[in-house]
Amino acid sequence: MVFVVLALFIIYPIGKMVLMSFVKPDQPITISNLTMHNFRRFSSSNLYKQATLNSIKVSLAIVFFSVLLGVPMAFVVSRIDIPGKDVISSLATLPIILPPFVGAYSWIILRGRNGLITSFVEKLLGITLPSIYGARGITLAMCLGYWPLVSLMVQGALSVADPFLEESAEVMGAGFLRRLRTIVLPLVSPTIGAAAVTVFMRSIGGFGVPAILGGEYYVLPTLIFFQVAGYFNLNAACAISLVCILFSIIALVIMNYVTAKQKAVTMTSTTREVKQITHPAAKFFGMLYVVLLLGISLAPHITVVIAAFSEVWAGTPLPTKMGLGNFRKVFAGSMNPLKNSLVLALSATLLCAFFGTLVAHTAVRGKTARGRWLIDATVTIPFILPGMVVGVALLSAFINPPLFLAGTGIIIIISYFVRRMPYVFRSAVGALEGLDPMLEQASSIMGASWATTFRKVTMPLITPSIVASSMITFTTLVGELSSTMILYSARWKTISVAIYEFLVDDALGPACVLGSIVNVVVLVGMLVANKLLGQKMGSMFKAG
Amino acid sequence: MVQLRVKDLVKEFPGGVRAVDNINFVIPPGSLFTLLGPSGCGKTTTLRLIAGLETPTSGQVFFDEEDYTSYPPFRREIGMVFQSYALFPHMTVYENVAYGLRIRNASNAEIEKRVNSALELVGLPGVSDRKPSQLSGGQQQRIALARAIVYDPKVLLLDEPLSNLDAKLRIYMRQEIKNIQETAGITTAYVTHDQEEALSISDYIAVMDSGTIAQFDKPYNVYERPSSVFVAAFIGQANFLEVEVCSLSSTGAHVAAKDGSIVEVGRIAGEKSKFRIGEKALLFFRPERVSLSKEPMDKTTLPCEVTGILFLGETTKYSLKLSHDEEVMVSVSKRLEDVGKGEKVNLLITPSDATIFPFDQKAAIEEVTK
Repeated sequence: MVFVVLALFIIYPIGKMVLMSFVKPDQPITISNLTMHNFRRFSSSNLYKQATLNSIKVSLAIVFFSVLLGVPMAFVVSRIDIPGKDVISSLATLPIILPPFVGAYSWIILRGRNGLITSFVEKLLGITLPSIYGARGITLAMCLGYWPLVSLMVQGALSVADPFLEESAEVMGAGFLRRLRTIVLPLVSPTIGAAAVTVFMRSIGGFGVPAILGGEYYVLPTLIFFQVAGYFNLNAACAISLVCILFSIIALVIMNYVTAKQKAVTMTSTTREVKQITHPAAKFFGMLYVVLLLGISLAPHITVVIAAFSEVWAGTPLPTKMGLGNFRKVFAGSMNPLKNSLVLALSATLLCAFFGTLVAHTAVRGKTARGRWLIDATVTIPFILPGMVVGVALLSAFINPPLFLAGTGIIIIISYFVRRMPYVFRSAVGALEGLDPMLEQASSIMGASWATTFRKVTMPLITPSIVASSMITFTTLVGELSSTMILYSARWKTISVAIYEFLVDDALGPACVLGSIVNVVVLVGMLVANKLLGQKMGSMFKAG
Repeated sequence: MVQLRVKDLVKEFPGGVRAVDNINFVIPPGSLFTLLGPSGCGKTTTLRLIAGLETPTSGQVFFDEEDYTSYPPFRREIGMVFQSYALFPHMTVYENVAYGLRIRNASNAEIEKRVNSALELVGLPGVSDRKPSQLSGGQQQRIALARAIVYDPKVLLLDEPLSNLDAKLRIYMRQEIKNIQETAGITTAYVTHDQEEALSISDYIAVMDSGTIAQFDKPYNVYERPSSVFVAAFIGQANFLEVEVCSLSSTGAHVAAKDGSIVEVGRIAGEKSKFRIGEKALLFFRPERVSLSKEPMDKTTLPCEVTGILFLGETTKYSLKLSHDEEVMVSVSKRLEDVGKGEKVNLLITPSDATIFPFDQKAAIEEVTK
């Protein structure tokens, strides 16, 4: 069953998408119809060329700044003795989980054409700040959402690094900076590389932020959206998706090549913890950095909440008139989008929890290493694909009978399911690997059937991990935009789509109300998950 | 060659645990000194204090006459081999060994010359280009040693360097380390919990017991003339009997065993004022410092019954039960023929190798054996 589900919902749609991209619109898929027609535009159309270039430029910039911000953060949190590390870690996961496009439009409030900061600086200093729309704004909004990916992963690597390596360098005469340069950084560089690739993949496939802050600045996901929503040319969308994936793969290959050279196997494991820096100056500047970065990263999301409650807010640091006007406007309309989002996210989450655990159990306790690898690879594919691409793949797979699902809630649930199952899968694999198989063996020797063993022994021990990862799955689905954008229909409009429509209509206030609701749902889910999952959060978001 | 001196060293960890409690010692230049003790006695902490990896709560560390206490590790000119070797996994063997030389700004030609001669010294030329993970445990151990001595440190520190090797390799490597240390002539501090290792390679041994130094001495003195019951019981095998002091003199004493037999004792450990005629004491002797015979001997002997025989080739071990059910273990080079379990024999403890300890140290026996 595991293999049937994986084949039907992951392998088949991706295969179909690849084939469709080589066929002209409205033609059946046959050998004789194969053509490069859909790709030709990448050499003929200026729009395509520009969008491709933009995508690469912006993604590289986001990777650069995310690493620049995230690595020092990881170092401060893992090596400097500052208070409140648990709180810091929880807060740092927020920017990843809060929908980035919700934060993005608060940049319009702050730095839009009539934004607070824009007009404030203009009035006070007489300087006209460069526009937030375009590459600059996209980079800013996205790297503030993605640096925590880098910092969480690097933090994990730093905290398991063998402290004796640094001590031995110190004994041989290496000072602090030298140790950092010759020991610490080389050892975590494979992790930094992996984090960079993860960020790159997310950046090149990100739709929400460019859609809101892009203006006339187009990127590949915007083109995909145009093809699907504007022209309903699925074949072209498939082709663009493929190009998108191609860049992700290139990034992955380059990074594997670079890090393979210095792939370091830690030879010994020690339970001794890394010594913390206790110098007062280090503590002060470390704390300052943490507070500033977290403040700036969370400011957009806080702004959204303030904006939701404000009725008049123009050119002043705080709204001049607060009230529930925006809420009344929103609640007067249909509450279906909110209901839809919750129903879709909940159904997909339950599916993820059930199948994710089952697949993980098959993978971990399965007999062959090859089967394990196959499952792992299949489950991970949709994880590294942009949401938009998953949407296109599913749409192209299920748009014709016998499996006609386009426009239904089911196809959205499937897309949520395949995209988020890796969360549950990975944390269940982690929990199962930490579980001594002898416990299960002991149970069956005592006469318990497979089902009883699973229910009485395995489940209770891995439940906390599964509940926690399901919480995260749910929270990240409530605000899911990119694959929904491709798959939704009038009947199944979600809260994220509603926000997007408000924004297109320039109705910032109501958009902020919905954004705040999403933020609150996410926050509550996060708190619960964080309690259950603790430190292991970072490894869940890693690509590949 | 430098002299290493430690003065009134104290290390208190958060929570009030005194891992090192006021220790003092002087290691002569060029000698190999071992910190020996059960786990948790503070030996590794002492080594890390010498390295500067821990900051002492109080006390000082001197290299010759210079106070090094406030120096960070990287200014101390030391070499160190860690228990886990701590070879840098991202560097080749060559780069690992060259690391300390690069920090000292040696020229490339100089580095090449010295790395190669260090690798030759540890008997591993030709592995330069490998990664540490491609080496066996014993090879890694030697690379760690080469890396630690290549830049001629003033002091070499070794933290249980052989504990991850199998028994045979351990015996071979400890001799190698001793040879290399003598060739290089570096003042060396060595931490181990393996007493045989300590006895075989050290010039000096400090036996540590819960943060303090129980005895600082040459290896044979630690074995033959232990200063306390703890040292006697920790090093080698030891027999203890409760006895009563009958007479005390400047050269020794006479004590009475529980059955009344008088035993001649050649050494009194600790202050003489601790012993009083008519009061209890602890009689200590090594298993091999005895004579055993079926026939009566011309000196006073202890009558006992054989409860077990263990033939080991070189020696034969006998478990004996004394008159009041006290048990001792002795070891003789010549097996007693025709003596089986349950038979009576006579035990003579060689007087010059018999020692009495104050009775109040009795608790230490259990502390060691538990």
